[in-house]
Amino acid sequence: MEDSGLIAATLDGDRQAFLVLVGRYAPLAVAAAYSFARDIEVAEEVAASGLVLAYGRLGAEGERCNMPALVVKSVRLAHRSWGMNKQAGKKLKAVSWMKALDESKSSTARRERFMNSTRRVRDAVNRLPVPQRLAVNLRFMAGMSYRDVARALRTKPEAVSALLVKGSATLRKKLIDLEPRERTS
Amino acid sequence: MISCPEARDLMVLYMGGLLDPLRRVQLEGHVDACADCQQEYEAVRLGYQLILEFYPPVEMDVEGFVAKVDGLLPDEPPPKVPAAARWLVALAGFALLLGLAASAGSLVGAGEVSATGGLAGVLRMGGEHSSKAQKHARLYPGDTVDTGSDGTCIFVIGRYARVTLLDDTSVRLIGSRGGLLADLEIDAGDMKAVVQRGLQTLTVFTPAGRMKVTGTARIQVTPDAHSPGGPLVSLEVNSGTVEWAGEWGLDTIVADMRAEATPGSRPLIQPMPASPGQGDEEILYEMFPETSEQP
Repeated sequence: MEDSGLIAATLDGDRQAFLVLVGRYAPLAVAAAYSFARDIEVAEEVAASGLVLAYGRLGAEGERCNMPALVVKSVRLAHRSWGMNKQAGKKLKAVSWMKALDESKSSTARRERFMNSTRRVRDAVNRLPVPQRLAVNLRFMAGMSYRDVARALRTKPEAVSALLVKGSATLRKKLIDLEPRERTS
Repeated sequence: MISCPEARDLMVLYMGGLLDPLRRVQLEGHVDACADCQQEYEAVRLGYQLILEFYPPVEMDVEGFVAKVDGLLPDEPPPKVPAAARWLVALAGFALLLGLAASAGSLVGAGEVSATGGLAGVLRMGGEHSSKAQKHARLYPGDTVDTGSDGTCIFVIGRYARVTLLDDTSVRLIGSRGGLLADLEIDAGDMKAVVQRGLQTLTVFTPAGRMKVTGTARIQVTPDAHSPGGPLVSLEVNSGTVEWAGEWGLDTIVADMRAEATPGSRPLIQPMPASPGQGDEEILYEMFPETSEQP
């Protein structure tokens, strides 16, 4: 079902309809939250709070609102108030870097090298300015298309590309000694 | 032909095979002929490969996450705002825009002033006006400034204060001293105040108490489901001091400190974290254009 139908059902009191939207936009919310918080466990909590805020704003936004943009905006608001609420929820740990890493490499030495490279790239991404970080995280962490990233950031795909160009070039300059394997995108 | 900046902006779309044939040929032609762009393309390509290879997507238990959000949602459905009301707010914003464009002083008088939907309006109050301000656009005690989503409003108060209201901010103007606005009340949103020291203080009433601002401060009021005591009020003091008074008494927050409180509770005062990403929030506001798509 389209977002607009689910939002209309939510406004009519169908809680499950909103939970479908939550499932749909969970990766986006976590990737956006990680862009602001730069800590994966905090990001999960902030993302959950952001979606609760988005729920409260649905009535004002209306059923034809840009849901991905509302999620990013609500997550940003939730991150602002995070310091006060960090003891509120228990850690769920539904999100993890390590699972992806564990499955990706078998030999210990290779895995160690890979983890080290991953950590360096992650640190470098975390030092990018917020818009570039958001674009990288929505595109790669959440696996969204350029068009969807553009919609969430309320901009054009070309602008998303420009952010990724700047981010990629910065990463290359910071990690000049780290050589990727050649592969096609 | 395309220029170097245009070519660079399209490089990632090119790598993803997402450019239309015409743009692709233009980009390839440009990069072949331009040594700088060739170098840039190589850096971008290698950086992009680093992300693809070493920045794996996170694993996520979506069902667990949905269950967590379900546990946090309030029992009642979100309050409905009738479409007609949303249109009225948009119309009010449009009317304000027209008023500003005509510089006809149409904001004079009490009532709601809405800057909804992308108005980056500059409003002036009191005598002195900045070069950006619209002449004759005056606000008086009794007015409400509501920026709406994606709106921004900046106003100056005489020679002593400049107030910036960011999106989703609602501020009531409630009192004046010496012929100039001196008391504001913020219900929700995000405001920055720069108050010149030695002239006058700006008093901001929040759900968690009254703040007297002398210097530069940022005040945010965030509705949040986690705060049983009501909205969360955050204060950051960049320079000068802010006296925060409430039921508990009075706290003075000095420069480089931040404080947070919910209504009735004493503010938790901490040093402002010095992170390399400081200022990024500012960039975000630029990122989200004022004229976003409307439903």
